[in-house]
Amino acid sequence: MTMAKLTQVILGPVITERSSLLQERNKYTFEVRMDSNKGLIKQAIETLFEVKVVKINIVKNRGKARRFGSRLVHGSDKKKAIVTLNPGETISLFDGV
Amino acid sequence: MKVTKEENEQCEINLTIELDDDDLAIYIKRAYQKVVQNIKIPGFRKGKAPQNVVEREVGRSTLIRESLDFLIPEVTTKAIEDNNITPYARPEVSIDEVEPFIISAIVPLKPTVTLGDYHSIRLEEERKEITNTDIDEVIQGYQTDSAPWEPVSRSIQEGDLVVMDLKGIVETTSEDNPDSSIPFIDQNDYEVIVDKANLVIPEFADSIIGMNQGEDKEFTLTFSDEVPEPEFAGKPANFSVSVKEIKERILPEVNDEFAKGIGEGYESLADLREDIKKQRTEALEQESIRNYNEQMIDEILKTTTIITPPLLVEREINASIENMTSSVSRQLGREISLEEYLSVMNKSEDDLKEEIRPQSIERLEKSLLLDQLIEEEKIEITDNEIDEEINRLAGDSPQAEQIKELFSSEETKVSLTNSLQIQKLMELLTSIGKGNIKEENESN
Repeated sequence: MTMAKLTQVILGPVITERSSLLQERNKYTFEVRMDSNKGLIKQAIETLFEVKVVKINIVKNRGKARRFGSRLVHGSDKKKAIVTLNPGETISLFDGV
Repeated sequence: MKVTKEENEQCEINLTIELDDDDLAIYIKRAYQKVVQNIKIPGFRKGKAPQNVVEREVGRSTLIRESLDFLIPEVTTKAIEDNNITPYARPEVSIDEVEPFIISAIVPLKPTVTLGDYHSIRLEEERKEITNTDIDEVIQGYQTDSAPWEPVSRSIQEGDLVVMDLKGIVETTSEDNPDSSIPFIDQNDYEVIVDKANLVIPEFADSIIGMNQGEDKEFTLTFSDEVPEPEFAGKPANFSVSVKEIKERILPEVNDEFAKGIGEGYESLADLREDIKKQRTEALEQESIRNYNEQMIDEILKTTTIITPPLLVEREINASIENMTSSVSRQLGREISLEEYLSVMNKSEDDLKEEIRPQSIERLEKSLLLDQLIEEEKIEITDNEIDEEINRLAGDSPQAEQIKELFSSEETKVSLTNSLQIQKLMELLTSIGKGNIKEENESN
């Protein structure tokens, strides 16, 4: 896959209390495209951050349905990937800016 | 932490303190711990966001600003301790730069007071004696106070009380209002004491002297340039007076009867005179002691070189400005700000500061001088003396116990000690000034 497409796979870091806790165990959480899969994410992370990925867990969040009058509106779905790295490796996207 | 120390000749040390990132990190962390409790960051519960997230959210400079409250005092205290400086008062700290972080502190040191040869100062005490004329004056005061006004049927004389209908119109010619007249007084049964010294226009007295009851008169007088209302200064005024009643002050005869009538328990005139003499002499004595002390201090101050840190002078000035505004506030019965005060006085803050600078310096120097003299002369106050003083102050008034209680706190004891020390010092200085100190003391 080309470089340009790999950068599109990963939408951004997820920075929450839970993700911060996971980071301590060398697990980094990213928001990824809905149509991506573990293989693609692994490839993207490894090329973009030059690290070795050990394991990937994927979580799908379904967008919430809200009712506006008689219409039922669906929020957008999102996919999160929890990436476990080789011990000792880090991704710098998360600390400071 | 890098500290550069620079001492100037005015008893001040300038410290320039540079903090590197490691030093700052501790303070930033503490600031973070404070900030995190009040900040809501999406994805985190309140108080749970990690430091790097908070730092990115609010910015490093905000954290530094938050840390200043405790950073500045702690850092300056540490710098002062590390350099073995004994500060005399609170240092003045300012932030020079944030990146790298540099603050500078001006630390006032103990002012150096170099006493001159004050033991050789000799000063004559001015003693005023109470004279018979002084007593006569007091008695005259009693006389006029108790004198009734009696109507008389003769023409007006100096010193009379005149009841009149008075109209006054002032002719003002200002540019935007040419030739206008302002009535400034129009009153029936107006009472005037014909006393040249106390009238706004002294010539008014001349104009009405000689008038009789029921007589009307119109005349024009000119306001002097010093009248309180500037728009009237130097302007002519038309008066119309119609005299209704003329009263004369009947002075009571000064005799034993009069002395009894004062109601202070005097038996006779001689008694009264004696008592006035006693009171006045006491007051004069107090005054001359006070004057003598002041002169003595002034003289000693002349032989003394005092180097005061400018910072202390500035603070003294600011304190006295604060005093001024708060005393004005008390008089007016409401808070007034410095700006308001300045605008009423029609002065800029700098002008006011310059104006009170000399007296502030003098006050500061005098108090430093007294401290130094107390130290030099080793004037100490024992607990016994304090107790005695408290007993004396309490006296045998019914609230003696409460008064004693009032004075038993440490704070009041300190101030009491101080005032006793000054009292003792002044006694000593008085005997120096009058040459009563023996050789043995000087050789010590």
